[in-house]
Order: sequence, then C-alpha cells, then structure tokens
Amino acid sequence: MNNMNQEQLFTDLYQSYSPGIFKICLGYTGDRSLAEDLLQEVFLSVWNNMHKFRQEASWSTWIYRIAVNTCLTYLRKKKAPLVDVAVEILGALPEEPGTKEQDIQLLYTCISRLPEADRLIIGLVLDDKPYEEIAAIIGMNVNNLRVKIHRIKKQLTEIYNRYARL
Amino acid sequence: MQDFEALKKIWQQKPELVKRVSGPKELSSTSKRNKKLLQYAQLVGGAGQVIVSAFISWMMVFGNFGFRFWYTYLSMGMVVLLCLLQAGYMLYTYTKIRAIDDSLPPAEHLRQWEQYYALRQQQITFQGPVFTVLLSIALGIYYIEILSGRPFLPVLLVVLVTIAWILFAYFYLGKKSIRKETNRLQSIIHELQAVERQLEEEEPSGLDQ
Repeated sequence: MNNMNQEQLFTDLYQSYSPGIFKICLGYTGDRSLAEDLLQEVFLSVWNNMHKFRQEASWSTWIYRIAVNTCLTYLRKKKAPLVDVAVEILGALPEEPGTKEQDIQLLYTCISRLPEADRLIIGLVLDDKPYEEIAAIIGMNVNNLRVKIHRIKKQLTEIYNRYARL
Repeated sequence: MQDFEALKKIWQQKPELVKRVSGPKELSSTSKRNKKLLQYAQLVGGAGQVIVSAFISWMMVFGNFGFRFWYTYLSMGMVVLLCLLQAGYMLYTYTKIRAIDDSLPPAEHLRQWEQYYALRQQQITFQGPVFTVLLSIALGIYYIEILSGRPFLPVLLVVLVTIAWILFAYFYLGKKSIRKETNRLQSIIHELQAVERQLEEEEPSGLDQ
C-alpha cells in the first residue's frame, strides 16, 4: 500500500470509527478533555500500526482493541471510587435539569464508576456491537461475556436510577 | 425509573462531535501515557549519551591536550565507547517498547508487557553495575596522567569527589530513575492484571441476549 492510499484509508477509518471510539473513551474516563486526548492517542497508534494489520480480524475489531488497550494503559493521577459519588456526579451535570445533555453526562459519569473492564464492555454494548465482536475485542468466550453483560447492565441501570432520582 | 434500553437510547441519541482530521499529521496528543513516557525516557537518554560521546570524541581529536601516555587516550576512548554502547542499548529498549502490539486482546497485551518487564529487570541487574565499574576504571586510568606529579591534598580531594559522584549517581540518581521506570511498568501491568481478573471473575448466574 503506498503512502497516499494509506493516508486515505486512515482518514476513512477515522471518519467511520472516531465517534464510537470517543464515546468509549468518554465512558471510560468520564472526562471530555481526557477522552479527546485518548482518541488522538488511539488513532496515532492506529496510524503507526497500520502496516501490522493482517486482516485476521475486521478493521473495527482491530481498532477497538487498540482503543481498549490505550484506555487501559493511560496514566491516571488518581483512581476514582466506583460508586457513592453523588456529590461529584451532580456537580458535573449541566445546570438545566432533565435535558438530553444532562442525561448523557450522567450516563457517562455512571459508566466511569464501573470497574475498568466493565466500562469498556458496556460502552461496546451501548454502541450495539455484536456480542461476537465484543468477545473478539476483549478476548473472551462469548458465553462468559453474556453472563458478564447481564450483570453489568443491571449494575449500570441501578447506579443510573439511583443518581437520576437525586 | 429507566431500564437498560432507555439508557441505550440516551447513549445513541446524540452523536458526539469529534475533531475533524484529514490525515495523521493533524493528530497530536498531550496525554501522559505510560508507554509514551517509557519510550521517551529511553530516546532522550540515548540521545544524551550520543551527545556526550560526540563531545568527548571532539575533545580527543581537537582538544590539543598533548597527553604523554597512550592509555590516557585509551581511557577517553573507553568512555566514548561506553556512552555509545549505552545509547545503542537504550535504542534497543526503545524499539522493544515500540514493538508491543496494542491491537492484541488485553490478556495477550498483558503478556507482552510482562515479557518486557522481565527483560528490563535482567538488563537493569546486569547493565547498571557493569557500566558503573567500566566507567570507574576508565576514569581511574585517565586520572593517572592528569593527577600525576600534583600535590597530595588536591589529588585526594579530586579522587574523593569523583568517587562520591559515582556513588551518588549509581545509588541515588540511577536507583531513582529505575524506581520511576519500574513504577510506570508496574502500573501498566497491575492495570492489565486487574482487568484480566475482572474478565475472569464471573459467576454464571444469569445470561443475556
């Protein structure tokens, strides 16, 4: 592949996958500026590793794996507690109550309070990725994944409803 | 009371606007990722060694010191060689970090980091002491001519200061830098191990889809 084609392919991949990857990063960090930085980091890694792509997986699986590993290895200053962060969550919300913006912000913040692996998995589920693809991205058995997703959905719904009532 | 489908609608209702990019050159990142910091430390360290070796080489050729003994030049050559070896070694380490494949599933990604960590521990255990001993020998040889015929007290002072500096560099600066690097590596490995545990620990109490 020559450099021109590679750049065109990269731009196409960026346009196709960056919105979804950004949401995953946002759910993982709960912080917009960190998520923007992580998104850039993911696509820098995509560009640097494009020559290694062997078509053993789809582009989607390959890029999402890079995103998952990038999220997992980024340097955090402090670990956020998993739950019971009502004050912090409410402080992060926009002032206008009951808006779409408030709902989505609350959802991102609730996701960022789940354990790391769960944040990434549920982001992929919310994005409607097939379970087989999520299993390939995370590297686990589909049946185990179903069990896990069942539990994460329940946990996330509980956290969201608890803070939505506040 | 919202169910999960309602949360999915919230997630999907608003497409996030991301920065438009028309090529890889427009990407930039300020994130302090562990991997980037580890790579950067090796690259900067290697470049520093090359600069030092170039400077000493320049002094050997153009310094016009007029040393009488061949082994004084040998000692300077030894320092240049040690710096170049150290630079090559750091570049090798840099390529090892770069070779870690981010597109593998997290568990395999973790194995790569563990292998790198094991390699780095071997290198640190062997390379640090050997480099320090060889550098001390080179300096010792260099001082034979530089300090010969000088009054005892200044000679003693120079030797003591040099020994103190080598001990300080090895036991304080070197150990501090290794500790920093090891902490970064362990932070990556612990994070990935925690995720591996999270992926393993699941009781089959319910199914989905």
